[in-house]
Amino acid sequence: MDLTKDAYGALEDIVGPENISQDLAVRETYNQVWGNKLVFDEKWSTRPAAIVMPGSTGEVQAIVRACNRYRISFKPFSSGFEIMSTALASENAIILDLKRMDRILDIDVKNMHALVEPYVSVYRLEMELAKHGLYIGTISAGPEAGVIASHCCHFGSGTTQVYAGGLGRNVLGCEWVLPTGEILRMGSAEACNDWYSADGPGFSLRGILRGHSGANGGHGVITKCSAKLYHWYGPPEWELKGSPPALKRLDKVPDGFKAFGATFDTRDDAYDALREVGQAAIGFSVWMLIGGEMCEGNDEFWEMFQKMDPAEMQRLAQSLLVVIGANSAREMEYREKCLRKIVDKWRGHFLPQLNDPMYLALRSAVMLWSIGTVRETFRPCGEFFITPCTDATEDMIKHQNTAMLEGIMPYVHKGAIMQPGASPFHLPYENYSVGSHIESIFMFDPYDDNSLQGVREWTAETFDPKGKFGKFGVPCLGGGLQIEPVSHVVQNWGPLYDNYDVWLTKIKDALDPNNLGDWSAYVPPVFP
Amino acid sequence: MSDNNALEDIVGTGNVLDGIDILREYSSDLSFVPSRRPRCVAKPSTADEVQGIVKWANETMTPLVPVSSGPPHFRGDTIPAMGGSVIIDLSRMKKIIRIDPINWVVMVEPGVTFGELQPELEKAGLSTYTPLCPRGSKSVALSMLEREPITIPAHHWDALDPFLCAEIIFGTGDKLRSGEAAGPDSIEDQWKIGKAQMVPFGLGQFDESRLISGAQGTIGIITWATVKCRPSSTRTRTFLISSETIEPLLDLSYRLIRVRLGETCFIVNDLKFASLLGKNQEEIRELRAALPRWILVVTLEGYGPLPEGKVEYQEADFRDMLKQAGNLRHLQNVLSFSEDDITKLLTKPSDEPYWKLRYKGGFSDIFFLNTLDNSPAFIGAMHTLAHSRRFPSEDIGVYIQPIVQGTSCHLEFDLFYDATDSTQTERAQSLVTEGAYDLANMGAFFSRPYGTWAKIAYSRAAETNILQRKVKKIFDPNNVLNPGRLCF
Repeated sequence: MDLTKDAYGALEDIVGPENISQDLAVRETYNQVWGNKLVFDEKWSTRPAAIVMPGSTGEVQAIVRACNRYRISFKPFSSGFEIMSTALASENAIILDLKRMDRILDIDVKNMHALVEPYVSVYRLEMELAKHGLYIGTISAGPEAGVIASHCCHFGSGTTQVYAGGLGRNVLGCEWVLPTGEILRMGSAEACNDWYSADGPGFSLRGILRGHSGANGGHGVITKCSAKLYHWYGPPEWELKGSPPALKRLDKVPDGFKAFGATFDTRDDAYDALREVGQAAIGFSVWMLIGGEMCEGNDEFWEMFQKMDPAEMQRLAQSLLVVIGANSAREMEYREKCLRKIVDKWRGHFLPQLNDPMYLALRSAVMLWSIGTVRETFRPCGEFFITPCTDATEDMIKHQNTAMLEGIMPYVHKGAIMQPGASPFHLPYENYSVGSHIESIFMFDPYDDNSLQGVREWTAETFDPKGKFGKFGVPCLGGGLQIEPVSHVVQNWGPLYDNYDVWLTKIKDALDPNNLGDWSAYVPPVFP
Repeated sequence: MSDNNALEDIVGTGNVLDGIDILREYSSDLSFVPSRRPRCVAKPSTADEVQGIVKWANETMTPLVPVSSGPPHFRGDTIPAMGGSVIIDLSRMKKIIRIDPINWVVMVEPGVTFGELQPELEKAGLSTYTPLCPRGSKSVALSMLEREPITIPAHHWDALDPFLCAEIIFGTGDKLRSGEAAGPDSIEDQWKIGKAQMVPFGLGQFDESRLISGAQGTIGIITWATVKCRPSSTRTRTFLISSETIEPLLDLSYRLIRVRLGETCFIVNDLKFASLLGKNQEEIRELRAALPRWILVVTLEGYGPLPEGKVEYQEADFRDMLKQAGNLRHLQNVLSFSEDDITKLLTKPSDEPYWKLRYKGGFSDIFFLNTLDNSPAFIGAMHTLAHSRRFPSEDIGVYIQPIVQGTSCHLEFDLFYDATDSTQTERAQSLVTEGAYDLANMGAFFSRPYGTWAKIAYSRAAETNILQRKVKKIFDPNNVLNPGRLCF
């Protein structure tokens, strides 16, 4: 649907004619993203009424106020990785493309935080921070993944979570244009114009900013974020080879780091080792190997996949890749000894093919920076999906993984789903002090009816709160990684999970009385 | 009183107290917050009883003031701000429900104190994270929920660490288990499938625990909490690095925390450190005379796969850092206190009387957040403020605790005074109340605003105030939980 002339004019007055469009072709480009076919059974999701590109917090605020005046829904958009970024609950909605807000506003080297606008990507910030010996954790969604998207609004996990934390735990402050148009600067930013703490005075409003997942724009627009930073052991600059979509290669593991691949006889041993590697506080980047080998191209991957013994592939999937960083030779020696002791305890082996220097260099690039792992998951079949997916202890992950493998294998065997080597994306958080993250990733062809039907059946199984996955946690990390009007995860699972849906809808209602922040990947004040 | 009968129906006869002496105990503390007598004290022993009391309070519109720690109290948050309040004293809820030595998590009820928990954890080879030498009667769960800083900044990933999950009774009387603890199963059934209630990330798209953190009991009451632990150290080296000026120690702290070398890391002035060690005024004076002006306390602890190796490499790296830092002195001992004595001091709650009361019998704290590099300016300002109010600046203890892995710090000034001397008391009060305004004007962030600081903090946080009121209305619409605190 089109905006009224008055509404369009009001928005145009805010951003200027060059930063607003209701051209059909432009609008269509903002509703096509991978995943639409699975969720909406179309290549498209709801077409926005217009695209608006604000250049400042003031413009965002003015747009939100205009939306309240004209009763138009709005949704912010930055890196736009998944369906949550473009889906809309109503056609009477605009998308705020934040690409003009792309500044790294400050890097406080001493106090280890950076203040950024929404279009700053994790990868870009990583490159800038390395010059100062600093670092921000990887997000495995690729180099364009946004700092604000992953920290405040959506979700983002990566292999360096063991060292550099993740999710909302790295938010030290943010500037938030609320759905009513007020601007909140959290914590010390409001109290004293400094961005080192988002908590207080009193209770922490981070509690309504996000939980396991973010609100995906459902409760306003985050225009600045102060992100916690970490020490970088590596060089200030380095040369990566290859152009996208080729893997960016390193010739060697960068100075300051060592990498190892340890393979275990059983999955449980591997998981126990992963916990202890986390607890030993030695890892910079830790990851259960996804499905065997890594290849440059799709054909090469397919050839390898065809040749590979399934048992060997399964065995390799019980491998732990560990990148260790250290500040001194002594520290490196200690950390390496710890790793070897843990691997030995859990009967692991350092297989030659996983410890070849070139292989480790290749893996290190992906495990150190936000280059992303998505190419491995998109290429074989076209798309991927993740379910089940949770954060938990290694002990619960073992239980859940058993149930997952039992459940998914029939779909693998009938060719609906591809899962080379059983490929969960599995990583510890913060030296395992808050558990681990696991995503059961599988690949499928969205334009193959058999494949699509298989994925939908499997998703229905894992999304059934009364089914065998009901006890392992709310799917899609609390429901934030799904389209609520389609999957109804919050609505269906909330009553079994301490009625959290009730509180969430009340929060939405309190923040957004006109229900204009698009709730398709959040919640409405009242479920329709 | 008939309403007390209703409370007795909930918590049992004998657990509702309204004797005059008891009420007097709960009507004031050692802060400058005005005293007010509660109506009675209810002592529940289960979550259901807590829930019953909160529901009753909503029906009768009775203010509730939750109290978890034992006396003495120092911050005024447990004193009723409204007449007719009922104290919910959670000290009967003392179960250490579960110690998980594999995942390094312990589940405790709110009445469990540091004095009670640490010996039990030691049996399992674990140790609790603590604030600096807490009083033995301090509630473990509430200390962490109130964002008391712990002494190990490298392990302090998030402001809420080491707090993980909790069972919360909101002001509405509704119960919710936060993070990983929510779900269709009982906690016991969750353990059977390997859950340990250790994943704190909020349910869905909000984070329940953050809404009750630093809330002074105004949003919800917890009936159990899980908190992170760490392995007990099998070999600890404690270093006291001294300097006559604070700046080199701040620089060294930055370097240590950035690379996460060692565990305990904080800076204190001579008086603060002497107060921690000394048993009485005389001994504190003696110790202080022997101490340099500023001390950085660092521990290197042995645990994990190679405990000895960990301490050895860290000590070597630390010594290299010290060399590079230049003119810093490593104190081997302080008078008769050896390195081992100081190590022990840092791993257990305070002996009685509480260490802050030993120097002059009374004290008052001013604490706030900022960044380490701004500490010298605040220390200078504090001395100027003290001078202007004729409070002896030599009676001020200073404690700088880096938090959230060095991204900010807790800066604390202890004003030691003789509480029986009205002049000294008035001067300390003036400094704590009015002086805080001046510090806030300099940029001090009163993240945990107790007593009169709430007015200071919220006058600089208008939008936070508005939003917090909206949130409060969701979780405690009748404002029965600790009304009059924060901005409520």
